[in-house]
Amino acid sequence: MLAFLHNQLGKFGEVKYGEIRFHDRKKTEIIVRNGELKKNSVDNYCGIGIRVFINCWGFAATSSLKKEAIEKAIQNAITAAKLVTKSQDIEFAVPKERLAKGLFLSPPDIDSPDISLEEKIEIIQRTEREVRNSSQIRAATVQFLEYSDHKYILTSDGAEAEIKNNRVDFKVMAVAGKDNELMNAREGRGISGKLMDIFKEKSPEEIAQRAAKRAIELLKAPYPPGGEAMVILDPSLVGLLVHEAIGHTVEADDVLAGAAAQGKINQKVASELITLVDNGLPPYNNIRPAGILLVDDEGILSQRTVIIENGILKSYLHSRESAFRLGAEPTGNARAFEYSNQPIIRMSNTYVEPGNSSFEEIVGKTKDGYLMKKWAGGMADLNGEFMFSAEEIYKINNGKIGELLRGTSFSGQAFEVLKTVDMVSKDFEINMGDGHCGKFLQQAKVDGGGPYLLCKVKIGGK
Amino acid sequence: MKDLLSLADFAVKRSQKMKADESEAYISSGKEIRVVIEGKQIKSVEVQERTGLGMRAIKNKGLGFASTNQLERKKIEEVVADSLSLARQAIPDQFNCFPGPVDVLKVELLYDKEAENFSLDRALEYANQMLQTAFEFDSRILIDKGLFIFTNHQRAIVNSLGVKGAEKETLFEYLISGSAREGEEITSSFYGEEAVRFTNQIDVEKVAKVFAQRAIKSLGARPGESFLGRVIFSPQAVTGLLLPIISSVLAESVQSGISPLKGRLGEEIAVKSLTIEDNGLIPGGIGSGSFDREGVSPQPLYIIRNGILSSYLYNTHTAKKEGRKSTGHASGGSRSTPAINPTNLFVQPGDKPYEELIRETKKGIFVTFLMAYPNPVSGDFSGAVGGGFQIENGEMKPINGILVSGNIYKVLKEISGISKERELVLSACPITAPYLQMENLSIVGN
Repeated sequence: MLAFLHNQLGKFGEVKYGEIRFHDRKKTEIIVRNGELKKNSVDNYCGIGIRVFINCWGFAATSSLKKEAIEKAIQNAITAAKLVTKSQDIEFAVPKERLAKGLFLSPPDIDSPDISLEEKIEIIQRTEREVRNSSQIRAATVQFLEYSDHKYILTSDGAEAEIKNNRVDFKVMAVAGKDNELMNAREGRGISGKLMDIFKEKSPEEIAQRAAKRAIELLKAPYPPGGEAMVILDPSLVGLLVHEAIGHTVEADDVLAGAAAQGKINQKVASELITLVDNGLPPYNNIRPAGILLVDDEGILSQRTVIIENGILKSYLHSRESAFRLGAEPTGNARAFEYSNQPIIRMSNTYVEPGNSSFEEIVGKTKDGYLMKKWAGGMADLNGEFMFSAEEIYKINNGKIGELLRGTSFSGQAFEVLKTVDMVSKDFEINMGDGHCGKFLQQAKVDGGGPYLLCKVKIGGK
Repeated sequence: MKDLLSLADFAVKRSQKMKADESEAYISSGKEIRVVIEGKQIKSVEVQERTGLGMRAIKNKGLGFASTNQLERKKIEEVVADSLSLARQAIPDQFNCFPGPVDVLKVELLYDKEAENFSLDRALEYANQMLQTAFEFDSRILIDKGLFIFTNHQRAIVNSLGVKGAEKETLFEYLISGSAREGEEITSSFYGEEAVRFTNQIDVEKVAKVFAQRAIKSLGARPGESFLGRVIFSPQAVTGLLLPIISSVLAESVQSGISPLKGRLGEEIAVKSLTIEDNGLIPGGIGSGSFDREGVSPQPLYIIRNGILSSYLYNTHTAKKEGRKSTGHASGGSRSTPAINPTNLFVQPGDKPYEELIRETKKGIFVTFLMAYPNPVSGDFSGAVGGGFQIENGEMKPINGILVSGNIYKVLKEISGISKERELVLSACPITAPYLQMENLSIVGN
């Protein structure tokens, strides 16, 4: 295959840059709800994406792997890239050592045997039954999603990589009810690896029990009052904050479009306790985050990019093009979800580095505030304004964790909020890998997290 | 189209030969042209052909699904075998079945024959025109992204019980998004978008102007204050509040117990002036089609009529559970099993112009966009406002930094005004919505 694709590269002719991406994806999905198997499906999605730069980008994709179909796609991409008549002064040169060559596996033991589909269905059924073990639970859903990817990426400047990766999501939803009122709670985990790797941390039963217990507790919980407050954000919410409200504003395509981080390199944008990185390489704990990305879809090797160092903005996240336009080096963040998508700038694993305080110390120092836990969705704007939802909230009075309150949203301007950070914990997790990040009609598997942070936000309550 | 039908037929026959109890093949095929705008310029021009086969098989009441985007015979045979082997491994479910032959109502105006020759050049011209219009509108406009997409698409369905259907459609979608900047101030993001089926309906200038106007109008915003009272939502914001309610009338949500609207048909759940219809047979409708993902014609129905919860939406599986017929709301494409979704939603208009609703408001908030994820299970929502305005004695002043919260099911009874004007909003499904005025909402500001 590699030799065949290498031959096709020779047909590009005069281009400033060109790439061929072969991507064969198998997506498996199993959903069990209230004892019924709701989904039991396999989707095969395979093809080749061709992208060239002449006067603008030209992109064509084909699901047929026949020589003629690929040649036609190359011609289509070249025609498209010449449609804009004004030429641009742009270069895509990158240092040779940043180009990926060879075989890349994530997880490294990807070819070791996996459990069978029947066994997966059995585990999912068992987990779902466990959720419904309490009489107050009205509904339960357990969802399993797996992407098995095999890719080749070849570029006109010499990257030539074969990549295999496997990612799984395991999600549990419990709905508790009393009279006409319903309340839901969710437990989820998304990683690079296989289903059984998820249970190295917690058993399926334990995950099920946690979801059920919280849905029942939240049903009785009162609403928090609205207003400005000191809050402790848990690692999943820190992950959401730095991904949505900081991360997207430092993606260089959005910087070029005028995002909040424009022109702020080497300026103080957060408390000096904050060091924020985007890291596609496997980090240091035994669970491999969902955002691992060894090679990006422009054939560039992944790296650890320091975005904010001790409060100072140090780098944006780049593709080859944005790196040229902003006079930087590519950071390996150009990603395409499937062969039929063009690579665009995306994050991988985005997290705040751990600090020096213990979680208990942070709670102890909080006189009047809230502990916000478990992300439940949210969005942010390119000006850094965000709105996120937390599923469970606890009142903190005089350094003690008190009553459980219903989840609600909180908002603020991300850079302003990060300036209010007073304490950063040693406790650290990357755990928001279930689900997808959507940008410009394209999905991506990403992950994020960090320590517990004490900061100030606005809570929307009753 | 004949080709697609014969491929689908081949797949179903093959599945039957391999002893599936019931078999269904859904095939789609299409060409897409896409022009991407980024910042101040055309970023890329894209062209591709997409194909897909989604195969469902039932064996001993177990259901399996497999799909491929490669329509070669060998791949089709593999997918037929995979779907059957998944069906054999599945947990049996007595309600697994496919629909029998149905009368299919032909929906008009979905396909523009003229568009068959729509070229890359013309797509690029339209994208450029949209970009220029937004730029020339005001020098303070910042463009983030823009898109012009043309699709020429056909789909076919065949099942072993006699369902057979094929249809062609064309679609032009375009949008532009960004903000306005003056000095240090950057407004929140705004967008303009539209989707039409015919070449002669394309109006990119209108969309660019809507976006630019929204962004410029919200410059000069001051922090808003907390209060409890009246909020007027734009059609875009209304969509964010109504769609979670619609997700609770999908039979799947109702039957599985996650919908608070379970068992409440015939109950008054909203003010009398609220009526929401679903109609998938509207000629030229963006969500219209002669048949759904299972080959059934969508049945026009009222979801809420004069405040009363009137109907749920069904596909074949959920309908069978209640011993009734599908309402034709099976949704999705060739890459996944049918879900349930609305087609085209229409919220009935009121009789007052929206400007009059604003003029008659002593104190209130106007919301252009609502950044919120209402929880459809509990109904709780609380979201940040984009393009917020303080209304004082009928005058609007831009504000920022406010959150609106409430419960989507409870606010249905707090509607105090519905505008005469409606706009088509292209959210998860196309929804034609008016401006809605609601009371007793809690606003958190400074």
